[in-house]
Amino acid sequence: MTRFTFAVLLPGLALIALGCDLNKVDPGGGASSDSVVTVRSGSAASPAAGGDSAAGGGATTAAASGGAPGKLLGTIKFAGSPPVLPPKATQGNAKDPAVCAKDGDIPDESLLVGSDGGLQHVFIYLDKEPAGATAESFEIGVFDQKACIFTSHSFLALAGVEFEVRNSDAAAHNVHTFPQLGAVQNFGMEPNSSTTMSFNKAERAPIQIKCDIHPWMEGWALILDHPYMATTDENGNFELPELPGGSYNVRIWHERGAKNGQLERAKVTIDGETRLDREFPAGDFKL
Amino acid sequence: MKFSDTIVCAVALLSIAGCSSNSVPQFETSQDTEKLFQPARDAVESELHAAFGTPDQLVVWPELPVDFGNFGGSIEKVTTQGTVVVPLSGQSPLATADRLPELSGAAVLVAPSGGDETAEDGQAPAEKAVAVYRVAHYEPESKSLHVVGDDGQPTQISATEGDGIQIIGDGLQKGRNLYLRHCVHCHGVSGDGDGPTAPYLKPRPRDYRKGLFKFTSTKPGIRASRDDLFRIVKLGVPGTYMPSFMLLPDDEVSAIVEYVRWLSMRGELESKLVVQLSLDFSSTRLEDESFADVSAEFDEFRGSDLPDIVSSAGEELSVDWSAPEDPENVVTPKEERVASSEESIARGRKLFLSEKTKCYSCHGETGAGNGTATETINDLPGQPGVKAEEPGLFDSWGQIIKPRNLQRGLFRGGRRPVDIYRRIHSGIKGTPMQAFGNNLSDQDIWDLVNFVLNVPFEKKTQASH
Repeated sequence: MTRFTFAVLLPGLALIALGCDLNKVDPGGGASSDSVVTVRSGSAASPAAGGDSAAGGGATTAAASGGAPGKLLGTIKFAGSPPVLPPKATQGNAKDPAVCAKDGDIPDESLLVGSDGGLQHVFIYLDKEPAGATAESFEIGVFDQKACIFTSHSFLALAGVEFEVRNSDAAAHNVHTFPQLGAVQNFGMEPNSSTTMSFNKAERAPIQIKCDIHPWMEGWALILDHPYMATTDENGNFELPELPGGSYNVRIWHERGAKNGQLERAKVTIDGETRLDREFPAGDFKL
Repeated sequence: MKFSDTIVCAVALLSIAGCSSNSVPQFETSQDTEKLFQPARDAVESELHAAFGTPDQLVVWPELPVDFGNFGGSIEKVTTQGTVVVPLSGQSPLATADRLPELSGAAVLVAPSGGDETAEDGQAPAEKAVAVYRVAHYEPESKSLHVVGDDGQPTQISATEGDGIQIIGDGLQKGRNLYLRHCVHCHGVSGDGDGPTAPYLKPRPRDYRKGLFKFTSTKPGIRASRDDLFRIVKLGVPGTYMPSFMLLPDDEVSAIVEYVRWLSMRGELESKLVVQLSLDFSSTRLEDESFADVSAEFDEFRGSDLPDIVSSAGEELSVDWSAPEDPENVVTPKEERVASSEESIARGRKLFLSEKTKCYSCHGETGAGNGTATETINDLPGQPGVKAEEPGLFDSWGQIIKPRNLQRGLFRGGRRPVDIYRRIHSGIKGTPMQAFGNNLSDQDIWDLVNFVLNVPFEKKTQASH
């Protein structure tokens, strides 16, 4: 027989001779190893290798004793003159023009700086629930949609607590959340309707909410297990509920913050009413 | 033999032997993990390794809601030589009787039964220590199980009558082998949808690591059930490169589904850990602070906070992945399907084009998937002010996604009326397709289903109103 036939037949005969069992389930793709199963008792928690287990229990911070209780308040500013952001949609040129951008442009709310530099929609919050704190839960606001804008561009909520969601427009919207730890929600709301919703888990940082029908509509929501959070108003001012005296870590977060939104993690010591004022330069933002 | 004959023989023999690179499959860390500073990244990798192992060494822990194809039973008698008499039965579809003789080397867990004591305050009884052995030999006729210690050495089994025995089966290993044979080239070793074939595919293969699957029968916020994943593997996803594996036997598809779930849980654990670490321990922090300072802070965090984070992430996985199996969490229409008729289709069309639902704004007035939502150029997800290169909305995996062209009659998640009902009622997870179950009645949704199923048969020139 020709060499060619020989070259083709030999491997085939050898395969049959070697008993290549096509029914045997072997890993393919070049993986030549087999697998074993090991058992680990308990849950996924493993003692942190090489770490100190001294402090233990991280859910609450132990506030240092001493110092009178007080509120944390202050002003957050943007240093220098901010870039002027073009509107998301101009008057009369948006989808559903009878409802959206009917009486004016739809502004870009991602960097709203007041006349003396006050930065709006900054979130200020404690990263952990303070031990021994007794602030009563605050009233979660209504999350509304008007003129195709989320009325609260920066929204505060408590995990597991229901609140009202409204669509005050004559156009349908949908509320689509983008959590990092909790469950995604994406439901439609017909014109002039209202319903309730809640966020099932606390998050580490504010999460985005969007409408897919009107893609410029976006807002940010912070969901925590405790009420020690605030957002800045149009002058950059904020105020947290009263805290026991002591030392706390406070996160300052803005949607355009260059490092995953976090502008700073400040250590503050509460002794009576305490101020936290900051001015952040343009380089700290994604512009 | 002539020289050319030798060459021919050599080539022929090489083609049998192959070029064995002896490569071992390994999990990859995600891009988000790689943005952490090195000690944080190492901590994430070590937690993942401890909880899930590698593709070659699969780790099982009691709360993990993955079916390993276990066998269980209650000890009837303990004999003197490290043998117990225990009737074993399979606890799941992956634990078939033919696997019993193959169990040598499998892990054996002995859970002492202490009766139903509840501690005071009515809390759950404290966890009792579970002893681990390995199967040496099991005789099905005499129901006699010989064990050796976890290290393979002969040992005396310490157990009493009535204790529970659980043998970890090899169902997940079977799933792993099948996955490496059939799935890895598109979906990747880590289930990241980035296997060697993936760059050539659009839409991309599914990245399991978010725990998100598009075509489910479960309520919003609930993971995909085993049935949902079984259907996808068996039937394929029409209109994509995901083929149907109808020719695989059911038990093999079930095994693959378990392995996919396991990979998905691993991916979720990774992303939960990264979310908890990325605010404070990403590598960008080293631009402003010294490595020593950040390391010191991380060491403290690792001791005080990380164990709680890991253990609650594990508990969440356990709850989240058991929930889809509860029939309460399956979307079941309360009203029977309205029969398809001209009237129903007309009502459906009216709803489709109404301001109440605005289906047309994405799917187009004739259902061709060309609504106005496909024309705007949006910001890239996570990057405000940075515009995308092409118009359209994004899915949760960062890809541009087009609304379904209903005229094709190709439905990726299945074309049964109940499948389309579920897409409308609960939306499609991971996409802009929203849930309408809150504001539409069952009758409305069935009218829409009838309309949607009829769209391929409408004349394309038909006026929209």
